[in-house]
Amino acid sequence: MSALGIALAAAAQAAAAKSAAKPEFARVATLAVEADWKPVAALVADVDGDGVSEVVLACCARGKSAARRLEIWRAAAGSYARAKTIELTSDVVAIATGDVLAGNGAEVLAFHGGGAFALAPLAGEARAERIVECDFLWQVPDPETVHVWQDGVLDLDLDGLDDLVLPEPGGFLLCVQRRPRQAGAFGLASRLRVPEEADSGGVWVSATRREGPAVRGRRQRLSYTLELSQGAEETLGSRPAILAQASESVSSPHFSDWDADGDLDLVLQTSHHLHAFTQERGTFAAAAAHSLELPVAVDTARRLDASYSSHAVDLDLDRRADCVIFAGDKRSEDVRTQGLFFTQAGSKDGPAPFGAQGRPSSLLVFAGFVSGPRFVDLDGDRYPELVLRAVRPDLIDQLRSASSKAIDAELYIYRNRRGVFSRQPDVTWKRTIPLERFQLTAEFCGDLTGDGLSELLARDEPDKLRVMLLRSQGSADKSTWTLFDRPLWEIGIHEDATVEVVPARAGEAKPSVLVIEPTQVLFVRFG
Amino acid sequence: MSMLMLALALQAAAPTETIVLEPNLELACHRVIDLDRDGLCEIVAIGRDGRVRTLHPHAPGRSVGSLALAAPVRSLLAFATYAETTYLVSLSPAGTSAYPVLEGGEISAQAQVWIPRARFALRIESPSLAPIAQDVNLDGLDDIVVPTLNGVELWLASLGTEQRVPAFRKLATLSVEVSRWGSHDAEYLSDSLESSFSIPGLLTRDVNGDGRPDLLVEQGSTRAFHLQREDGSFPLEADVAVDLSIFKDTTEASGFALGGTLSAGDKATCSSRDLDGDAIPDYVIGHRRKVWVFRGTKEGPQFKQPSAILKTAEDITALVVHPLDADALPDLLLVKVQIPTLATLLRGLFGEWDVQMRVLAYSNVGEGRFEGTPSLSNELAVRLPGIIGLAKNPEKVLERFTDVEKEFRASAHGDVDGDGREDVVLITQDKRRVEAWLSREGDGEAERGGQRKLRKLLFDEQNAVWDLDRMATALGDFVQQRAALLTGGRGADRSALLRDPDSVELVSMECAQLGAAGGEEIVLAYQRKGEPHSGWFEVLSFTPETK
Repeated sequence: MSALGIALAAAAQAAAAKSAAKPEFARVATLAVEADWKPVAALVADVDGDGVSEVVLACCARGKSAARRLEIWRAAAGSYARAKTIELTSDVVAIATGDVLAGNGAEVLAFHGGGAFALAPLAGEARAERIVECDFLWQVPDPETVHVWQDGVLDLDLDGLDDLVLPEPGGFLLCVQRRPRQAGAFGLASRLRVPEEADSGGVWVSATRREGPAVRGRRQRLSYTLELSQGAEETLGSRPAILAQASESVSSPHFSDWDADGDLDLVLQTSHHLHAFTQERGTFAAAAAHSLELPVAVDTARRLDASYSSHAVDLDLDRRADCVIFAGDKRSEDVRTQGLFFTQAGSKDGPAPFGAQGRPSSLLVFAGFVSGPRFVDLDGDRYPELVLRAVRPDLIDQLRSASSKAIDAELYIYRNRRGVFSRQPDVTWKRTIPLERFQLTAEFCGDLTGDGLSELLARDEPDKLRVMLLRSQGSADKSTWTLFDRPLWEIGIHEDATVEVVPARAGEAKPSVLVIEPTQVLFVRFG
Repeated sequence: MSMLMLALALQAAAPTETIVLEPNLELACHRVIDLDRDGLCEIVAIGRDGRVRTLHPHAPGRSVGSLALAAPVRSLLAFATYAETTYLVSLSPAGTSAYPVLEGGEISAQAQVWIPRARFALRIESPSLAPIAQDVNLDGLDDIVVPTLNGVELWLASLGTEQRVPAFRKLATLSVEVSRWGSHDAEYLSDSLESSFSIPGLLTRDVNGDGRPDLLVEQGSTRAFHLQREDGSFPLEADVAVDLSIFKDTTEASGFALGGTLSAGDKATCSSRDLDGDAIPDYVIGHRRKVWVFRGTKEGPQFKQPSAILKTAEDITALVVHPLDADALPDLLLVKVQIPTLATLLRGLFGEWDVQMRVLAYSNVGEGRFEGTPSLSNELAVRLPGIIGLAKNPEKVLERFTDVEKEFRASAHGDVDGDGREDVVLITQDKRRVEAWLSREGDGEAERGGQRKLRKLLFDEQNAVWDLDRMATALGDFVQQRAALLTGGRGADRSALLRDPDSVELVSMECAQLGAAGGEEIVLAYQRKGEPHSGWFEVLSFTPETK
């Protein structure tokens, strides 16, 4: 071990010992639901305005009753206790939290096929108030779950008030909140239509509204499914004809300042174009202000590309959204992935960020397949780092998994130095994970130790959740980063649990974590 | 509204007559139907905005009707006839309404509200024709079925001798398996938010051999049978109900283990087919390694007295009841798929790898029993390309199968030469021509079966290895066989050019009697590529000299 390695190991041990001496590093509240109910979703919000977050659980009845309810859990005597239970009506499709009504605290938003209601759950008489009407994309509720649409609550005009993004078939209704209400209206409403494009290559993967549900293919991260509904086996009689069906979709919405005017614009992508709908004082133009041909069209081959993803993110802090595309290199004999970086500042000719020729401003090449790329600021300088996982089929080490039933997964961090990424990963973190039915999940969750660097929340075993320390050595730009193998903190969780990181809200210093297990929810607060 | 009608000679050498009909609306769907019961069909065009127009191909300039549906994206439509009047029946948030067809095929704009409580409120993108009016109990009257997320409402129709308009009474809301699907991930710019649902119709089948269709209801693991009475009614409570979860093989579940047998989950499966030739369906239920056989009776299904119980040495992946041997009775086919071992998977990262299958056929010996030992057995292997190569270029594999799909030729049947016999019409593979095969004496006697194809596929070659080439070739052969079956393997008798497939897409083709003279004509529905809302019709007729 090098001197640097020894120093880093000692630092990690010291940090671990320090955290061990501070049991308050993480406080875990166990929210045990009644035996007849199963938690399916959880949200964190201060719904009573007392400055302390409550936990909103969505639960479904076990058995055949198809009942669903919300449970509001409030801080009490160092832990959490259920304060209220509210039955969910059968039409509710999704929920979120946001401050959308006058008065203290946030409300629970309930979305259904015709719009959204707001509910102050701890008010004396919890009464739903209609907020907006629209053709909400997801119109059919699932009796066994409730989806979370928290991506639909954000401050679009940066005035400190929560606004709403409501996806509709082929478009969006964007509602910018205004207070006080005028004529009972929530605020400014903009209805946008996404330009339709011929999508002939898409029938096999990822449904669009023109592709009926008869042939359904779906690409989701590293897995594919293909379902031919005509192939269903006869059971008790001939399959009856379909009475009613619909298949609707809309591009995923992303909000980023496109034109450096200080507000958020809507950026989205169709099969062949990137569209930007600009905002002007809370109102969005109905038609896209910019429609740019994508340098990597989303054809069938690309939809099947395990490494493919595209991103809108301001890489160089010039307040103009840039575009990054990860795609498998089809011309290479080896399995490798290209990361194509198109910045508005770097575009020399033609409309930014792709320019006339669609040439990237910079390029990174990764060995193997890439999954889960994320852009997140890890060191507080506001420049987003690139974090991704890679699977390298050329690693002969993987063959040892034949005996151990484990496989190596690697996590890479590329530092962003004033808009420029390192050519090689600054941190490579290798984990051995169980091969069967499990994949590494790891997410940088924010600075938990106060050292200015974000910590990694990792689940490298199905029943363990760990916080790993990211440490900086050296000064400023010449510093090196190390991700320690020894966890700073860990907790045993149910192997079927789902884990959600809850970003720190205004007034909170640190993020929290929700662990949704089959019979309970663990609410982990740091610091 | 104006309607453009043109008579075009598309090909000088082949004087095929083509009439072009522009509906002048964004076409959502259409139906070719004899609305006014004069023996000649009209084309009903339904627009995405809810406008409904009747087009008469042989009456120049005529497009009739002023109906505009109030809730077009929440309207299910069907045609039904009561007391010699045809109606366009509509399910919408306002309930079930009917628009009578007036003289000349015009659909009235004035709705008759028939069942205010039978509502349909879901969004379906555009007005759609659906089998919502169907004669469920075969009493000669179309009943109304209303799809909801809780099941299908069945409203039985009745019509007194002096009545012109039917009355409806609700029987029940019957459970159906509603499929839901959605994507909520919005992390990447390349993500797509998606939502779909599908509500199937009612399952009906005569399960006691009395000639009347009975109602079958599937809800979770329960199967319920409502037997139709002589007066056409159904009992509210099921006559027979069985919970498949009571069928349990006590052998320990093998679970999902590399190298083990792929199990069909831990739920019992149920297949139904007439095993003993008495025209009453029988039932085969499988769980893990055990199979129960129950014979149906004139009183309906029964699940108390099994006619046979079989047990195999390993878990069963799939169970199929299908004729395999020389007699007409369906036999029992058990399929066991071996989950690859870890070593196979790792080897498969870089090179070809096999998924092993074992197929066993048990002969039907009558009276709802199968032989105790398999009469046929075989080991098959499905050879797959290397996983890394597959993941790197999956579209290459996909292309093999989509290329085969392109070889399928759209077909329609109808008497296009007016000789009283049904002819066959096919679109060429390149989609540039339509060809017709006129029926001749002796046609239709070719072997149309194929029941034994499964046996040929699974058992004729011992230890067969199926790689992608062989699968694609077999599919291609099937396509060729299907075309040969339709055409008798001879050349086409008639042929005509179609619109350029590079710029337009042929949406549908059907044969119908539209004009008084000659045979049936071919109704083609087109749309311009890249313009999903465009749409028009062309009516093509083969003149006798067309070759």
